[in-house]
Amino acid sequence: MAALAPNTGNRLPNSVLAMIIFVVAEIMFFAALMSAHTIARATVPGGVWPPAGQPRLPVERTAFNTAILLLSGALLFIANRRTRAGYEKARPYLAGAIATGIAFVLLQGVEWVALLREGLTMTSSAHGAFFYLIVGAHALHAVVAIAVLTAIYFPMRRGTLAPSTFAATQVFWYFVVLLWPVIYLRVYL
Amino acid sequence: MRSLNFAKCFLVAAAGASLIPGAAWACPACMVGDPKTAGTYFGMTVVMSALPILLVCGLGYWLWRRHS
Repeated sequence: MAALAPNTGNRLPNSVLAMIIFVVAEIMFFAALMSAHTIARATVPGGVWPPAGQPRLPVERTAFNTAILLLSGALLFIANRRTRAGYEKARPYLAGAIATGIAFVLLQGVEWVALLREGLTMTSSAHGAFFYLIVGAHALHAVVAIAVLTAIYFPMRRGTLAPSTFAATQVFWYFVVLLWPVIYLRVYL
Repeated sequence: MRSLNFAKCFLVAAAGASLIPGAAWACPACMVGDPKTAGTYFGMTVVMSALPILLVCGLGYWLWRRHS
């Protein structure tokens, strides 16, 4: 297991640097979406958002879902700390992070179904378009990140996971986790 | 010589155009009547202009600190 310990000295692995650069680009992508959303909110007649006649977003349920996603990030952080004692010790925490991540996406799906039944669609209003675009883009990132976390679970179980791969995956998942509270504050509240 | 005269005319015309307030309507922050909305436009313009600079400079500084 000692052979699996990070042996990169102070050098940042290329995969981690590439992931950080990718995340910086993604931050700009979401900033553009939220900038447009902020301006749309400011220009709505009467200054009331969501506009009159539009379904209200489930603030309380999503707050619970936000806590689940933050728990997922915390579990991955603990998994990283536990790798010092070996991948065997870290694996249950990684599995927990994957499970809570899946729970987040599933609860989001349930929420979307309820909102679609209430009549909120991409084409029903600017409110619906921004909601599905921003939350949907985040959900897509969450699904991809969960797929990557699941993909690294098996090499971790075999003990063949490269530390740099684990580190790069963490960067992406932390981005997904930390972005969500910002989206929640801007879109739901 | 002819191209120099054209350049002078162009510069004078460009400087004159900047004095015409109507040209400012091209800026979205100046286009809206409600001061509150104009503030939102201005705020978002500042955020979207500063964010990439902050991100790139922050990453560069972090890498420099890490490797120095």
